[in-house]
Amino acid sequence: MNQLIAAWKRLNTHVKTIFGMPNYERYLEHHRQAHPGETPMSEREYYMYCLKERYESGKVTRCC
Amino acid sequence: MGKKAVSIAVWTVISILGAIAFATLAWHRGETVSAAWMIVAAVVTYAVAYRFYSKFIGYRVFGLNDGRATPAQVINDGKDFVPTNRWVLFGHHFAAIAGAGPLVGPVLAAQMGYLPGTLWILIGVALAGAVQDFVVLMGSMRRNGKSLGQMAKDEIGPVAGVLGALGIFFIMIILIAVLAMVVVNALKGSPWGTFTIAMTIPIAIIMGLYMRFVRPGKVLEGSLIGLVLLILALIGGQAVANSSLAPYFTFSGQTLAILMMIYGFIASVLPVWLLLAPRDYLSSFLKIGTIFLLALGILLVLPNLKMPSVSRFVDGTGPVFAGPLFPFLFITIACGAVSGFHSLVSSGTTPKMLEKESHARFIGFGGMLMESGVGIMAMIAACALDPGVYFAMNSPAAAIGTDVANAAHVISSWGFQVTPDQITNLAKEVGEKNLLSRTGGAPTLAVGMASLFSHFFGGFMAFWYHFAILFEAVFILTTIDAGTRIGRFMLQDLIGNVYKPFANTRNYGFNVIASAITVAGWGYFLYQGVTDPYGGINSLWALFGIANQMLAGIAFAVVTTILIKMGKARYSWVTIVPMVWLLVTTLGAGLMKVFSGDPKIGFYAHAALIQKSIDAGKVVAPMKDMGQMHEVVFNDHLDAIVTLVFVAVVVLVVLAALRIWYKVLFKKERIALQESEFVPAQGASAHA
Repeated sequence: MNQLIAAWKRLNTHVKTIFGMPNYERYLEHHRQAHPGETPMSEREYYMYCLKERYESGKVTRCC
Repeated sequence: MGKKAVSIAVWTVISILGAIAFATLAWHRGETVSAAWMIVAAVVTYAVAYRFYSKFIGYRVFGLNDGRATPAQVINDGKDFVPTNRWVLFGHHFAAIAGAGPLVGPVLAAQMGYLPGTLWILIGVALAGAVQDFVVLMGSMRRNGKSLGQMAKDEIGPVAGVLGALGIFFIMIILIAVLAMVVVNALKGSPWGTFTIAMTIPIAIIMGLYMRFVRPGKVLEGSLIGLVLLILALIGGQAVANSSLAPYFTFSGQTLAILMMIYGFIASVLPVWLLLAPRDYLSSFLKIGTIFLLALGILLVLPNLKMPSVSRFVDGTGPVFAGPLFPFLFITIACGAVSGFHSLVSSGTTPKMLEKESHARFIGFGGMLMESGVGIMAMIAACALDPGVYFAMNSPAAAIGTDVANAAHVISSWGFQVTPDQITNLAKEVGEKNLLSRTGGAPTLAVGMASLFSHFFGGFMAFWYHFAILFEAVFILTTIDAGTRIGRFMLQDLIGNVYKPFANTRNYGFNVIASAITVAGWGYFLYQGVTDPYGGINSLWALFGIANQMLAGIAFAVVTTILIKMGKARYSWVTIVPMVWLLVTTLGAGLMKVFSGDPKIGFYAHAALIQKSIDAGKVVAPMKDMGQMHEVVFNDHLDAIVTLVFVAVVVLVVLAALRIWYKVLFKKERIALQESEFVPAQGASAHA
């Protein structure tokens, strides 16, 4: 069962990476390692932050 | 036998198999040939190109080295720069490069028969398209994921940087216009399709609200809700089309074009969480899902190709697009063979996520091979239709009229037998009133896909047709709103070079102005495409193809400069050969479009012809009044100027690059390569 849950979580992460979607779990983990002791963004803050980065930076993220 | 001998034996067998497949496709005589041969030819070409050529480019030319840390390893910021499993990154890269392009070009090119387009897709991808994506990815990877524009500026000079940016902006405008045109042609007079597409807007907004307020950040749940609602909208569309509501969703091309502009403008100034992001998620899932379904359908059904291998229209008299095989076939199929736009994606998010240098080969070269496979599938779907039906759907009204009986007569006179009943029955089967002159590729592909799917789902032709239309329209609309937004940023950046405050993207007023200019830009070409009898796919697609291939030419010029500075001039033919080929075809096609004396091809010749009638005070069909006559002349001049701008941009960038090559190779000047520093990879010895 635990293995199933782990596999499901991995699949979620992969799908998010493939489509360039925000991945809060990955952010939390990175934050814990890189900035221990600081308060991370909430899930909503992080979501809004990612959307801004991806769609309001003028970067080309897709093709014809 | 040793390992090496086995390998040689296996690759010999594979190559022979490929040769047999190509020979069958080329010399087959008789009614039809199985699509299986095309698939075998494609797979063998991809396998051989990947195994041998990409290895040569990766290791011999570029010196891929797993002992050198990638940007993801060095920076690893948990956000953009994240070392990513190569299969997942392959998916990420493919989802970014795949779009409507490879589905449209091959359908149009099918008018010359299946062989010319297929050969160009396969040879083009092996020697140009996949090479471009791969080398740009490697170049960007060695520069901390810099964009193509930035690389042009660093390696060639600031002028090349600005010119490149200008070129990319114009390409964006034409790209959006031509894709919007595809949607307009698919939706005009189709209440089912229009209702379904209109519903995607409220569906995206519901998703947006859900992911922001109800379950913040739960993007997969939001997307699932969206997909379920989308299927309901698709089913509801049929009910609407058969009800008294139908007239409210039945629009002419003009109205749809205007609605599209209003949508594009609003979407580009609304907050992204409300419409753009949820739409993007929806279309990403739909895109990958449908491409997968299409592949499955073709592999299971293995349809017969009914189109002749080479049709009489190689001489340039075809109704779908004007101009002879050389050079026009090579600009009609851009995506699938070589797509300059990919150079922007390959220098975008992907290089920042590579785990190891060696992965660039699988992701850059392999990703483009997969897109090429999508192009081959589109070719199969188009050529599996009855040629008569294909021409009925893809010839403009100017060529076949608007009456089914007349159209069937004209097409039969070209040697492609078709009856009026055949066309009407097919329209009825897919739940449409009319299938004549549905140019732009999407409806043709939709009919092709519908017949494949209904083949193994046992019916539901109309449902699958509208499913296919939905999928193409959704991701095209996503390109329209995202593209308008990107165009807006590019414009603010460009004008910012002259008037600094305009570059401030936090200024709402400037945002609105820049959005309006961008929408007006593509909107004009779209509207002209709908109202001008000579506009539309017929002239817009050529402009798009020229622009897209020229961007590829620029990308090759940048990478060649990098290779020469790296001291690898002896291998620079790898990028120079495709660059020269692209320059020859695009400059050739571009200059022919402008200066050809044949009014069917040349913009100026056509303008002169119409002007002569205007001077004589005569209105000639298919124009309806003098106003339209003047409009056509104006549009011809405008199209000519745009083409000349493309030509000028690419020529200037190449000249700037040549100057650098000359300095390095002949004057032996030392011009520094702008690579990022060598950092040894973790846990690897410095040489690998």
